[in-house]
Amino acid sequence: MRTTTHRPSSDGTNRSSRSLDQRWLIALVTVLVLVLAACSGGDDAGDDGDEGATDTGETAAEDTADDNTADEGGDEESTDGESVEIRFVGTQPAELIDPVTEQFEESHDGIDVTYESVPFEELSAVIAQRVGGGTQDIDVYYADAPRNPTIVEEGYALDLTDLIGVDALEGVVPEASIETAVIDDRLWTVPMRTSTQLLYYNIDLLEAADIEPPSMDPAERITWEELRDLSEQAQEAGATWGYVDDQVSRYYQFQPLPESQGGGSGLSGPEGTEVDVTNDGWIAATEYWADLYESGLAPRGVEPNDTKPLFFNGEAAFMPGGPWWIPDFSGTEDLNYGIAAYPYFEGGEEVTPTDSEHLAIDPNTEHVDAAVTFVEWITLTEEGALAMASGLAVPSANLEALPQQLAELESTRDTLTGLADLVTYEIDNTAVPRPFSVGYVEFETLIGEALEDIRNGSDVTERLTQAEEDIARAFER
Amino acid sequence: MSDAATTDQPAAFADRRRDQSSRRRLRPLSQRAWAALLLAPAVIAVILFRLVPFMQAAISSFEDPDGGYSLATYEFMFTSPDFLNSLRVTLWFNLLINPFQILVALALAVLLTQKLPAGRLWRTLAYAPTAIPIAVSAIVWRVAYRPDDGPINAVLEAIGLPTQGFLIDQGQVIPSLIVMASWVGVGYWMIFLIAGLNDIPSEYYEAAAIDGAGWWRSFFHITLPLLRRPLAFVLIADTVVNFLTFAPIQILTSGGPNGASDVIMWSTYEQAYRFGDYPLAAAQVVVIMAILLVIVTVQFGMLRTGEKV
Repeated sequence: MRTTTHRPSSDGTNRSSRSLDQRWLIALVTVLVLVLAACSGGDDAGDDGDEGATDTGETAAEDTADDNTADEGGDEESTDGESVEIRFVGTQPAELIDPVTEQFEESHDGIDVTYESVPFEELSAVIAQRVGGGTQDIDVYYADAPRNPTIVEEGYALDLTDLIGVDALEGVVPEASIETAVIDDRLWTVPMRTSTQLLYYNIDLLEAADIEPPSMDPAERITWEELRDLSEQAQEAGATWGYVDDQVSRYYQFQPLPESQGGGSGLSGPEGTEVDVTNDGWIAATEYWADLYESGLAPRGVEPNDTKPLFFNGEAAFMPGGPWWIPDFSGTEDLNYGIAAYPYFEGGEEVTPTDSEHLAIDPNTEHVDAAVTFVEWITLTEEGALAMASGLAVPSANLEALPQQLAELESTRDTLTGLADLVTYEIDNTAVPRPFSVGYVEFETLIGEALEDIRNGSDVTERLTQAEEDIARAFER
Repeated sequence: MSDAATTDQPAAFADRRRDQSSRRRLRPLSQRAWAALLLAPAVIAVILFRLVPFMQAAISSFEDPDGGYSLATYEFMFTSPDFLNSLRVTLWFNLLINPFQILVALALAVLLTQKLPAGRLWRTLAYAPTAIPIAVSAIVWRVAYRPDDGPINAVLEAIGLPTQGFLIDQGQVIPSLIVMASWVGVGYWMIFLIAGLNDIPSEYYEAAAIDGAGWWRSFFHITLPLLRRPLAFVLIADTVVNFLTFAPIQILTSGGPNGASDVIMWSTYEQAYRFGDYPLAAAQVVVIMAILLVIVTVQFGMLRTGEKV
């Protein structure tokens, strides 16, 4: 390298600074190379999980378990005595879940849990990006039960068969929810919650219309046809809306209608990949639902997150919805409301939706024992399940916690007497889970889009036919 | 390293220190080196966050579901009614929104460079929506557009006009989105054009006025030709931004009703992050990039003058 002496020229510039310029450029290239090298570490992310879930998941579980030397089920501490930190990702607001994780930390020295809330609609994308991308920044996450086949096929869930085991769930959570957690005889998730739907009604609006409130007794449940008439009556008497849907245009909320008409879930076959949403039952149920919006009984253009406030503010007479709104509704003194059994179609089956969140563990987690301990505490122990149940009024899947949770909800209003019996009856007798299929996500998304279009005025038969074709095409891939 | 002889005398020590520091001091770089240095962060970012992911996407788009590489994904894509619809919607959306936004931004820029009372206030008001995050704007417009109980329909009803479907009407969803996106974007592009207008020397206008040229003649023969470069930037950047429109679609319509707002970016997002079909999403990205390259190249060609744009 040619050496130069520093002799500034008369105009202040340095004419012999090439070597320094070269040094600058070398520095620049070095930085570029270093940055590129730093960024090339994650190229293989997302390549795992394409093979059979049973094989890869099982070996992954064993490999990771072998790497962890902590006693199974015991508190895990890192070698330097510091706490193990695990990240827990779910869809509820942090203010509801943070007290739960704090309660866990109090009784489990050495494990710190950080909760991260993501929007419900984004959960699948977040899991695909971060768990599928091998980022290792998530340890435990909410798994929506009907998506279990998908997360297992994609390799997003750790095999829990040898870490927790099906036996640990027997008698602790409902048998039906165990069935959705077990795929190919292996345990992949642990049920945390179950769900059901009720019919909320506004007592003041019903009184104004001279309507006898529908019964909470399942034996006297009203029909969808009767509900339409009552909604119309209430609206004529002054209610802004006769009817609002809780989770409008979502398959979960809608599924009981075609099921009650004998149209089935929409998916069938051994793999759950045969789609039929154009049979008479589906068409009739969808025509009924579309008419609620076409006739102006229910509002168009209102998002799922914006429908509850309509009932909450006393603008709607009826709302089919989950029990998780009870604390909010009971906490509003101005809202005079009651609950009835979920409707069914005249001459059809009595059907309610069910299923809810399970918990899954990222197969890439570096803290298997801590993650397992946390999952077990929150789902299988009465203390953890009650803590979680107090955070949100979605029925707990824990059979010890559920009756206490329902009794608590029932005590919030005099008009709710009998709620616990009703919810228990529905979960035991009328609950129909969502279809079990590796294509469930595509099915749910495309049906949701079709329902939204139908709500906004698209022709029922045409749009369902198109949805059926779209779903079949998506399944081809 | 310095090879100066070391002594214990303070003066010599000071000399040596001076000598070392002068050697260590960074000398001025040549213009080219400075340009390279200042451009480096942007170049690195473009390579890392644009080119590398694009190459990865291009490669994965040829991955066959059964292993190896093939054109299967492209065959599926080009026979998919959904994809062809999203292509059509994207092109239609851009044919409408780009000329509209640029004409409005230009009109505003010309208007707000005139001597108006409270001129700066108007400029600020026109620019203000740009400062609002797009998600917030989308949510505000979602409420405004509500068909049954939204404020816009309330106004229409009050003045005796029929209420509209807006976002839930197949024919109105694209115009409604264009209005919302323009409310956000026009003020932003206007600022570039105002800067361009202010760069035009006033002597030209004075000379034209002496020659008897009217306002329109001055506009077409002085303003527009001299505004060519900022206009070229605005046209190209606006096209790219609008081609990649995503957030308002995700927040407001999810591609509906009946696919009427299913722009290609939304379709790609859905394939990748809802259905987990990464090869198909990657193939769609390749198509987006190819179309954008063609459009931008044509725009560059159309606007090229003697000087570099």
